[in-house]
Amino acid sequence: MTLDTAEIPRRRLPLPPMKLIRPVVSLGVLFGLWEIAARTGAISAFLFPPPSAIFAALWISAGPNGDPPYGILLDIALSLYRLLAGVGLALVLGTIIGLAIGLTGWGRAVFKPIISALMPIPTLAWTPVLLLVFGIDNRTTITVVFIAASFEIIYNVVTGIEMMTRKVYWVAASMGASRLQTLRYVVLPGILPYLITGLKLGVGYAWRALIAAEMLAASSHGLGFMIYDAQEYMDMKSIYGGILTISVMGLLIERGVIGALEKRTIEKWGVNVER
Amino acid sequence: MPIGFQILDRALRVIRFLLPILGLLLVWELAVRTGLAQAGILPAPSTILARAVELLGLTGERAVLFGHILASLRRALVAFALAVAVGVPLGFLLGLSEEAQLWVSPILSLMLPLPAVAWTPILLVLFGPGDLTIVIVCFLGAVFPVLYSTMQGVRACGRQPVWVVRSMGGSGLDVLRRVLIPSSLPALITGFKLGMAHSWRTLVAAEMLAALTSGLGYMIFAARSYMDVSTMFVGVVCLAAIGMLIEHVLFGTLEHVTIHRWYARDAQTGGRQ
Amino acid sequence: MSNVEKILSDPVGETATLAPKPKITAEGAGIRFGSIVAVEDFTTVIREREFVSIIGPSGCGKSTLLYAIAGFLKTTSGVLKVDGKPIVKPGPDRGIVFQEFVLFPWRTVLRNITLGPEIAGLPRAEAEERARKWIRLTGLGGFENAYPATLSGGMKQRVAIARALTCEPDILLLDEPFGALDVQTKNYVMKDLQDLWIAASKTILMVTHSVQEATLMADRVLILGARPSRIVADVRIDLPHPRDPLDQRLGRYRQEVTEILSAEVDRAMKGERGQ
Repeated sequence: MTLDTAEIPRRRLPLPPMKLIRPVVSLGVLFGLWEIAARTGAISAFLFPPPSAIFAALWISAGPNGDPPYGILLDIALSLYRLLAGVGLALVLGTIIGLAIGLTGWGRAVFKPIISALMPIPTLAWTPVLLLVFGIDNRTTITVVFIAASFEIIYNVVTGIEMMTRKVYWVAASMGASRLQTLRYVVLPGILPYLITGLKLGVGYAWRALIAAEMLAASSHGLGFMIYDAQEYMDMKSIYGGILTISVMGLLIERGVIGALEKRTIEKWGVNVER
Repeated sequence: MPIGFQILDRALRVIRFLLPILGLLLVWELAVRTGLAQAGILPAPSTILARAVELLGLTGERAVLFGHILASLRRALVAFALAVAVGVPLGFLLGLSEEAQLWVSPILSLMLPLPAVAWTPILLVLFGPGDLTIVIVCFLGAVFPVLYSTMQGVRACGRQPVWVVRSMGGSGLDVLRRVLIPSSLPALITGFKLGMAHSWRTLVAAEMLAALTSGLGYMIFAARSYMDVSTMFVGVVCLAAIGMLIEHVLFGTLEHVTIHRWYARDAQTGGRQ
Repeated sequence: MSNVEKILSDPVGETATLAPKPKITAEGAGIRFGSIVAVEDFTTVIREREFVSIIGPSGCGKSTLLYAIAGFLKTTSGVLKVDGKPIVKPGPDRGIVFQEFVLFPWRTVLRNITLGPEIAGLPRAEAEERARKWIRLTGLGGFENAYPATLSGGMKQRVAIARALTCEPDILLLDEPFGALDVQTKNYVMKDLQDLWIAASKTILMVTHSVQEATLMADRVLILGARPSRIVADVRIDLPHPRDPLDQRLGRYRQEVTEILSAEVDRAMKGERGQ
């Protein structure tokens, strides 16, 4: 029966070229209509500058004639640096806290309540408090990124440990593994797929939180700061260009970097992480 | 177990949950009192509590806190309602028609990595600061979880339940009313919960950027310019508490009367048979 | 003279003149999905109150055929008819029971069973009145207000059967109805189904991959070949109902069907290797 229904494809599978055609056509139609509407004056070309003008402005901003020169590249680099620093911190601390909660009684007793008390606080609500502590500084935005990413990582590490059956530990114990060896050879590889899932979700939240934090913390540079700053000068082209860059960068990070990581581990091992 | 023990057991569990939190607060309080932490940046919990009492109007001052909370709740709820009105029909459409979903998904995946707050600069130019800008930003934050959950719920239904109703001579309306809506209801409720949570979480940032006179986000950001740190912390705690109330009390109850009853055994797996 | 005419004019057994009229007629029915041929040149006549089993190697398209008779899928060649009229869509004259039960978890047992009458527009009381009969006959009494999630597999399948029968269909289509049940439960439900069939006088078409299920209950066993799938044998089981599973004669039929079937599976495997 399972095989029988399996042979009935729901719809015919999209052919590889179709997979490429669809996004090109659907985005092409969207941007094309926008372009025409802006050029013919159907919508205000000041408020909604035609996509061609937005791309042109982005291109200039990425070159030596930008204001400042290579401005958008600088913004991208700085945003990525903050993301990397915050997520790296979250990865290390989150894994440690997750292991403590999952493996030790005291860790569960101490951290679980504190984390459940902190989790409902909207990440961005920390920004003004952090601004007081650190001032307008990279540390403010990095900390926001850290907070945004760490909950998902902790949660998934704990889930990963809970998902492991007791028999896995018994196998290790019967081989005479020490506590450290069990951690090294059994627990860490066992939770890796969950850790990657947590990382994926965490990076997604972190990227969004970072952009918002850069707007709020009015730091210098960074994509979030850039679009907020451009609003003060009513520089619509830069705002749209910035938004587009944020979205494409976010996609690249999620699909490209994390996607590749998933392919090499979760998919290869055939592990199904329920989320 | 006798009832007396049950109460005792539950009380013990609550205490064990609260103990680490109280411990943390105590360490914090002591750190401030002994001068380890700067009171100007990190006020003691007791100071924050005193400030909360003032803001609530319990000491005879003007009860400003309620006004901010009401303004925030109103915006978040309006945005959420809009998100449901747009996200649910669109979710049903994209869930039912794979073709439509394939064409729209490139645009959606381009929108998804954007924080809703990123639209604020454009909205500020278009509409200026105020309720409209804030509500639209929150709507953008809430609509995607609603849309995606609806889509998944409709998809997960599968063909066979539809076939059962069809084989009884049921019409398209019967399929919608008796299969698609009830079977996607758990996913819808999850979507509503996520949508409301996102609306609420987006609200703070939106209010910080675009509120003129009221709202918890505004209160926090305004307090920052007076270095009134206690008020900032009161705001943060309010945001968390209200968010938790909405999520657990409101949607928790909703989930309880639907999902948990239907899927008594397989509540965790989402309950497809 | 076409195949169908031949079958219709050819006396079936010695009681040809008394044979009930044809209920389901298949004339060269074929179903393909894109380039995959699921069913090819399926020609047979199923008469009123006949119990016919379709058996075949997994993936041979037997469920596909059943779905087409139910009206969920369309034939791409040939015709399928019920009462001499081509099948265009699903209808309450053909009830279906799936291997996975497909109960509605948000409805109680009773409300699952009354769904058909409800859709037909019957008032609640009358719908329940109709359902009561089948609840009694399927042994579900006392479970009317239970939710499906609380029932065992065997009970779930009884609900699915009662639900299909409450629509008072002429034809009952069973899609591997015992596939998801354990052996003990299966034996009970199978016995009940035999009694129900005798009591309800329906035409039953059952898809299965179990020789035992097919021979125990059916008047005729249609053996489908591996791809491309067509009828390789039409075995008439000339034994009175209800049958005893330990009957010697039944054993001989089982052997006959098994031999044809395994020859077919061998042929299919050779074909695969040959490719």
